[in-house]
Amino acid sequence: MIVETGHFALALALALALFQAVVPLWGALRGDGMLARTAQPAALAQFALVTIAFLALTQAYLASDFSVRNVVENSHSLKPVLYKWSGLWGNHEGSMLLWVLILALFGAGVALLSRRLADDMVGATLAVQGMIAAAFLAFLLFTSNPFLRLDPAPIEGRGLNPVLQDPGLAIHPPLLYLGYVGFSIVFSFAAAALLLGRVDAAFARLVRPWTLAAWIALTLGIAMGSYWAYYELGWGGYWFWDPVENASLMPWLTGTALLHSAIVMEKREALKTWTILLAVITFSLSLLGTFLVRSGVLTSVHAFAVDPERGLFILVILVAFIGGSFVLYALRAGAMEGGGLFAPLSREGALVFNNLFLSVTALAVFVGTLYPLLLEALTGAKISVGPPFFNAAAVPLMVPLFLMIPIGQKLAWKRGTLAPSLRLWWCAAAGLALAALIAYAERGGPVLALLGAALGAYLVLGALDDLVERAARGGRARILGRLAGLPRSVVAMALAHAGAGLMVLGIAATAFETERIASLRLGERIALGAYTLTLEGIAPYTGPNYSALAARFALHDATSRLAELAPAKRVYLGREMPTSEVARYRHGLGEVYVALGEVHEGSRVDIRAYDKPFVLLIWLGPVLMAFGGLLSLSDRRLRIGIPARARGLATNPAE
Amino acid sequence: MMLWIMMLVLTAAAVAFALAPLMARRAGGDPLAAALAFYHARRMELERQRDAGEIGPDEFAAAGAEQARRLLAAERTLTAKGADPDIVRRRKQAALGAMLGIPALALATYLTLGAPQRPDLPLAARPTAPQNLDIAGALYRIKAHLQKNPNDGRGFEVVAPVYLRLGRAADAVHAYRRVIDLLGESPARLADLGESLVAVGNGIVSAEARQAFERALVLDPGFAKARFYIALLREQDGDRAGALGDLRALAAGMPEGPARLRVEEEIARLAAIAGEPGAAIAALPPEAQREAIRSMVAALDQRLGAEGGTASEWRRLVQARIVLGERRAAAAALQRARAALGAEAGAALDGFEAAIAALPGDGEAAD
Repeated sequence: MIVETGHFALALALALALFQAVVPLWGALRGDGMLARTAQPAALAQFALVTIAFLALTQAYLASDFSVRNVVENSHSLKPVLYKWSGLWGNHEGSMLLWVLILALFGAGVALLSRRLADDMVGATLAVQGMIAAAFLAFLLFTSNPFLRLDPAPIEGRGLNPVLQDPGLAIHPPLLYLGYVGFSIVFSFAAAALLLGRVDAAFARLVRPWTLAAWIALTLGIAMGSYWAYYELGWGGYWFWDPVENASLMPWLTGTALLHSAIVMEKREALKTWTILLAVITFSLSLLGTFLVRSGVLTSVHAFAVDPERGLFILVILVAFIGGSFVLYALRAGAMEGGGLFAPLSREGALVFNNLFLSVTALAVFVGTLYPLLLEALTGAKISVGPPFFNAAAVPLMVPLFLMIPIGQKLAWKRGTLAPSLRLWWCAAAGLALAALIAYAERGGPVLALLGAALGAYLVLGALDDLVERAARGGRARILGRLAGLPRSVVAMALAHAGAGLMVLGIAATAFETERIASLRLGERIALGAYTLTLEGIAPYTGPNYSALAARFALHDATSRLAELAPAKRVYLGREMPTSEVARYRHGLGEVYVALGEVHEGSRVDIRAYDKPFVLLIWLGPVLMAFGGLLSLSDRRLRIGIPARARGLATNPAE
Repeated sequence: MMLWIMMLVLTAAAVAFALAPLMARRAGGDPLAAALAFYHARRMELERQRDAGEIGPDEFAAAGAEQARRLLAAERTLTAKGADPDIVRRRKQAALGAMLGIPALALATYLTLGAPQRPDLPLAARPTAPQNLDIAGALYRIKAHLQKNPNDGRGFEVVAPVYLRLGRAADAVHAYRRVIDLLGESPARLADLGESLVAVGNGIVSAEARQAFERALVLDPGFAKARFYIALLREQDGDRAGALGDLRALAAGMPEGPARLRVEEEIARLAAIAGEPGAAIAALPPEAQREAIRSMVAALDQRLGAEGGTASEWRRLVQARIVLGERRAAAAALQRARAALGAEAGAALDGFEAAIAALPGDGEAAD
């Protein structure tokens, strides 16, 4: 009864989503506030219903109910409870249910937190959200139904892909979906603003926390995914420019741009149409990611078992929402009033610069990801666009962007000047370039890594400098007290930018890593940077649902034995595919990383070993960025840009 | 019944909840009031910043003027809408539509896709009656059990023949080895191990298999299965006559039953290959000899048809048909073997197509 109740709740949620898509919008467009307000309880009820469905399927997973096909295909009675639970979204149908649940969660959030908003705005926003929910609920029920039953029910399930049997699965997809789906709310706000013809600072204030929340989740989700790939897949890398990774990076880039342009819009009512467009684009890219993963147009770790029917369904959803919103944008954008004006050299100008570079980077990633797919569809030719393209395209775009960050945050709103002291920065930069050149001439060493590390340090120091400078504005006395009293949003900005700097440092440091690929007999050792690695034993062991073969290494530095490392190969019950378990030793912010290859005759092993200095910064940086975002989210003060007055003019004729 | 009540409750609650705002007396926030409230909030924030000394009076004046300009702009766009005469009719339509539409749509969708008559079937509540056990599932459970209890010899003894029957000979070898390690040697266990090893080698008796059989014979010189494979080994080594002799001696000492039939089939096959008339058959005129061999093959054919058999038995049948030159019967036997064994066949039936195709014409027709 539980399973079928869940199934019915999902069908009822679909009917309610259609109600939510039609009735409140009708009310909003006719100026009937009460009718528009029906969106709020509808959104809450929808969340309750999808939650019931989700809990019902969770129960089926936990109780190993093998009369449910989805459970049979993705679970196993002997799996540890954590993986029974997280296995629910380790497959297409279950993850779609999670997607819809998070969609409903955001809808309910808007319904709860919008009591003070205009009726028509709430109604129209939740109506658009209802349309998205209806589309995906229909997709879920009619092409990817997780509640279908099997008769007779098999006695045992097929188990979960071993690569996914990791705590990472419990965290990475929910975070990523919170990000992707969070942008749907931003999209709904933008569409509602276009429908009602009202785009103003109040709108920006409304949108920014949701953008920020989605951005935080997406940042953590991507970082988590990268970290998971690093320790699970055993390649030692952290980013592979895999199409699905790119699919998550694109909305992140435009979402970051949106975050910044929404600030301009809230503080200065400028960049209105652009902000709306970014909101539409960001959610469109989120949908594109969903389409890429589930349509079967590409194969990757992330691609779910797919069939063309599903791909077509998502394509229709994609075209309807993206096309519809662009048409709406084309019809209404012209009617939006221009906002506050600003000089090119101003905080706004710097943020436009930021938006431009982030968007162009997103475009470059977009082209690199979709061009091979398009080419294959049109001509059948298979080409592969890999890291060389993306590095060549993204790095030159990101470097000026990063260079601008500390400069931009010093500029005043509306019109600013580059402080004279800034000229010395060019001297410093030239000196650094010269130093790098000398280092190259003398050592042939990694120059770009050196410059990258300098760039990272520059970002971190620039962020700290901004805090100190703000605190010092009222004189040197009580500077510490004022530092502690800075608004949280200012500290948040500094932390997020410093996080970006740490990440750049971590990435630059990969050039200093040591890699050894070796075949070792028992008792043999290899040198790995400042460490030595000795093979001490090879032994099998047994886990709850797998058997494994582990090699035992001793890790020494110049003076002492530091740790025992035991990388292993596991074979899970029910799946004959072996998976690799990496062993790692942390030193400071770096790691020694050992992955096991083939084991020969029980006495010789092939290994890949790395010493990676500062590697953890690659993920700690984004965590700091996300923490900055959280801090900013907690600061609910109104953001008002204080325009700098033109010198010698009492009023500004341009306004 | 509970399910239908549940569905009714959920639907009624959802519809009533969604329509609740229509029953409320109070109107919500109208857009103009919201814009005003936002202006006042920002104005107060600016005043707070001025009083706290965060911004100077000039900055306050500039920002304040900008806020006021924005409010005026907002007022221009939000021209109050006049009273709407259709308002009551529209709300009635919406409410009626929701009350009929939502339950109808939800029910139609659910009844198309759902299975309201199916109860939950959590694993803990399921009877583990044999008819529920498919082989793969059972095997999996034993495997999991053995992984946790790697010293349970009885468990391995149960699982080993299942592996062999499924054609997973290597797993069977491993399991029998564990049985012997844990429970000790016996002629039966050693012979079974040998048999699995033969299966691994696709019918070739390897040195390892030979050791197992010989060890079994040390423990029990008369042990039939071991003697049988040792005889086959002699054939493999080229001593077909010796093999035939051993098998005949073996058959003579065996009681009637499937095991003895199996030996006799082998005798018939060897005799047919050698063209040498069998001892019992030798006395018969040539026509009757062929008939006798045919009847033995037919007996095998019948038994496999009725009771089924292992991959190697089916293999022998097909081989015998080929040796007898019966092209059509061989092809039919091969087809039946594939149908009966399915995935269990593994590589056991490979290569027969070519052998059958190579037969000269049709044996039956030449007769």
